[in-house]
This record gives sequence, C-alpha cells and structure tokens, in this order.
Amino acid sequence: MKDKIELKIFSNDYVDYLLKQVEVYGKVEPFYTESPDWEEKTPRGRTNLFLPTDFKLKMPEGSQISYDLENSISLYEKIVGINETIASDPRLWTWLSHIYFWDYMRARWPVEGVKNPIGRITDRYYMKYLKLESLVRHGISRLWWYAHLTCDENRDDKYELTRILLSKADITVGIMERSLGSNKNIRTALLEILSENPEISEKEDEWRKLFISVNLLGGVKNLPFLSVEEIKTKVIQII
Amino acid sequence: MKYNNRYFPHPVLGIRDDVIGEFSCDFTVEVSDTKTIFTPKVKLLNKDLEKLIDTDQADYCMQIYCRATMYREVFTIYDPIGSQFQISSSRLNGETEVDFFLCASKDIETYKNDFFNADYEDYGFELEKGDIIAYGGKGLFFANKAPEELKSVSAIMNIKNSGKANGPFYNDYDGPKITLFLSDNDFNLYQSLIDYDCFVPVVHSSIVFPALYETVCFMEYDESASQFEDYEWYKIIRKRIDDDPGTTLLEKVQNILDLPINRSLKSMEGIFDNDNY
Repeated sequence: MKDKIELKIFSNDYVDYLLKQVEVYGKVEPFYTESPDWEEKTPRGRTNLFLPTDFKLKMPEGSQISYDLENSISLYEKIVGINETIASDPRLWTWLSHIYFWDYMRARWPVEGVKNPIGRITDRYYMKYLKLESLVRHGISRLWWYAHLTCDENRDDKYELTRILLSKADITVGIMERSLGSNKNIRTALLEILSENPEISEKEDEWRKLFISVNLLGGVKNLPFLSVEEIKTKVIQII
Repeated sequence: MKYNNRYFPHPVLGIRDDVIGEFSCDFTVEVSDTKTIFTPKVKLLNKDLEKLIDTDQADYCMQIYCRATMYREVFTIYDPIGSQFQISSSRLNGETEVDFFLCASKDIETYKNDFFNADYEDYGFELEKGDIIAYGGKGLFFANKAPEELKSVSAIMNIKNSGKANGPFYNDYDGPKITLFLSDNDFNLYQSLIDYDCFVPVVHSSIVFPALYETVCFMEYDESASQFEDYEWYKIIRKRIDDDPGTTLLEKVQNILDLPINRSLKSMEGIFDNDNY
C-alpha cells in the first residue's frame, strides 16, 4: 500500500473558470454541497508534492475551536516537496481546497449563514491575486504560510512564534495582512514583543497601538535594515 | 510599496526637491534554476552624503520585496559598482520590487547638508539608525519568467470563444490574463488558421494589436482600470509601456508586438508569392 499520495494542481484555465462561475455568474450552489462534481482538470506531468496517505486536517469544533495552530504545524511538517514559489501557486491551493481538503473547508469555512457567501468563497477557496493577503486568507495556503513564516529552528520550541501569531485572530491579521509582516525581522520583533509583554498582548487597545506604531515607524525608517533587537527597542520606545 | 510620496521628518534626497543632488541606481538580474543574482549599481552626487558613507555613518541599501512569496529583505551595498547578492530562486515568484536607499547606519545627532533646499537651510536634524536619507527609486523584475515569456503575447492574453455565433470581439480584463472573446464563428476560423506560421503575424495585427491598443488606452485613460492593477497582465504591460522609448501609445503598442503591421504585410506578401499570383 502506498504510504504517500502525490498532490495535483488544477490547470490555470480551470481555476479561472471556477472563479468566474462564482464571481461573474454567482454560482455558489456547489459550495453548499458535501460532494460537488468538480472536474479534475489537471495539467499533464508530475508535481512531486506529497502528503502521507493518512494525513488529515483536524476538523474545527463549532466556531470557537478552529485547530488552526495544530493544522498549520502538521500541514507544514507533512507536505513534502514544497517551496515558496510553489506555495504561491493558486493552482495547488485551489485543488487542495476543492478536492483534497473539501470536508475540512466545508467545516472551517462554511458558506451557510454567511452574509456575503461570494466574498467568503473568493476569499477562502480561491487566490485571486498573487499577494500576501491572498496567501494568508486562502483556507489551506494560510496554514502552510503561518508556520513557514514563523518557524524558527533556533528556538527550544521551534513553533513558539507560530503559537503567538495564532493566539488571537486579530493579531494574525494585524501582522500577516500588512507588508510589515513580510519581513522576518519585523515579524519576529512584533511577536517577541507580544510574547514578552502580556500587558500588550492581552489588551486589544494595546496591541492595536503596537501595530499602528510599527506602521508609522516603517514610514520613515527602513525597518528591515535593523536587527530584531533594534526594532524591538525602537518600537518599545514609542508605544 | 511607495516611498516617493511619503513625508519624512527630515529632508531626503530623491523625494521632491528636499535636497539638491543625485542618487541614481540600477540593477541587473541573472537567474538560474537555483539562484537569482542581483548586481546593483549606485551613483551618488552629493558631497555631504558621500561624506556620511565615507565615515561609516550611512549605507547604500537595496530592498527586494516579492508580495507573492512574502519575501522582503534589505541588503547593504558596500561596493557601489561591484556588489552582488544571491538568493535562492525559490524565494521569489512573479513581480518583485527592488528599491534603493541610503540609510543612516548609526544615530546622527545633527544631520546637515549644504545642499538642502533653501527651506531647510541652516537646520540640523537628528537621525536614528535606519532612517532613510536618500531614495534611489524603484525597479521591477519578474521572477521565474524568462525574458521571452514576458515578451510573448501568451503571457498576457488568452483567446477564447464567447458562446455567441457572431458579433464583434471584446476584451475581458478580470483574470490573471486578458481574455479576448471571439464569436464562435470567428474563433473557429482563428483556430483553423493559427497552426499555419504564415498566418500568425496576420492574427497579431488583426486581433491582438487592436485588443492590446484598447487595453493600453483603458489603462491610461480610464480610472476604473486601477481595479485590475494587481493582475500580472497589468503589471507586465505597465512595465513594458513605461520602459518603451516610443512617444505615443500607438507607437509603444506596435513596439511591444514587434511591429505587427510590418510582419503581417510581409507574411501576406510571402503567401502571395508562394501562390504565384
């Protein structure tokens, strides 16, 4: 029995077609069904991307327990053959969200009861533009990118920063959906400040102030030019 | 990220007319399967800033930013004409911005410059490490795309049938590539001709050329085009239009398509000769 499965990718044309069906024609019915009949339109050739055959994402429990942290770490550790270029390919993530992890997607990002189902679908099931907001909003790609951007082999717990990042949804959004989150030093400095200063991380007003301050600081300084410690010192000075 | 429209708390060379002088930068990129090598060249003409470099109070920096792979790193350029920076090719995908700065590498208690705009004459400014003191502009590079691929029409356009039997063709901009929708009858004719090399230039001049010209006019004159600026086709065309030496849009579009009318006429002349009319 095979112990790993090779992942597939949709063709570019099919991804465009699927997205248009939702955005232009408003066809959202398949997203309400347990087994939609997506076609397996995949290009010829191999992807050389693998997951263990028995790999499963943990299903969320209601709207309160998402298991994002557990899923982020397990997907990041188990997917083989991926790098940043491949991880920014909408064809891979669209296939995974529509075919391989469909049950998980339906549970984590259901369209039932959502005010704007088209918005939810385009946000979570597709990656319309190649930019950081899309990478960290897509239902599956976000899991890989969260762990990838915060995993640090030099720490006792290499996912220490991932845990801080995913401790509150607003912290995740505040760091990852802004350009400041794309630089490792800034990202690390922010997460360390949150970890070392519970008086900031536990109060919404305080961490919002922190993000605003870093944004303002980044407007005049070239923050990626500074070390993590230098960024932390400057940020602490102004908040 | 835009830098040239920011307001800094101190004068910055390269931002409006804050400081008189020149800070010009350029770079070349060499790409292999595994490595991408950036070779920047910077030129600074401002005596007081040059002095900051010479006394290790400021550094030339190059920032590489790729939104598609969340990559944003700054490299210090120690040699203005001979530095090279190598990064793994897998770290970049698609549009990559390259910005150049001169940054304070130390805290500077009083920064003065004889070439400040008269508004700041005799003023001194306190600078901290990391403060931007000159901006050298932005360059674009498309990672993981061969130059031929960027030049090819297929990088920016698809041709499909519209599902209507007859009628004029039209552009659909909402997608990673522009889609030209031909009527079913036209699409069938197009498909029967496109496999013949001699007809490719004719297709370019009769379908692709007007479609691209319409696109460029849309981008230039219609504010609503900005909703598509995150698509790759938009970025590629924008860069090619901006880089093209042509003086009118009509000229630029012809240059992008490598003079389609000329190629089409030559091709038709060839068909005419071969048929011995």
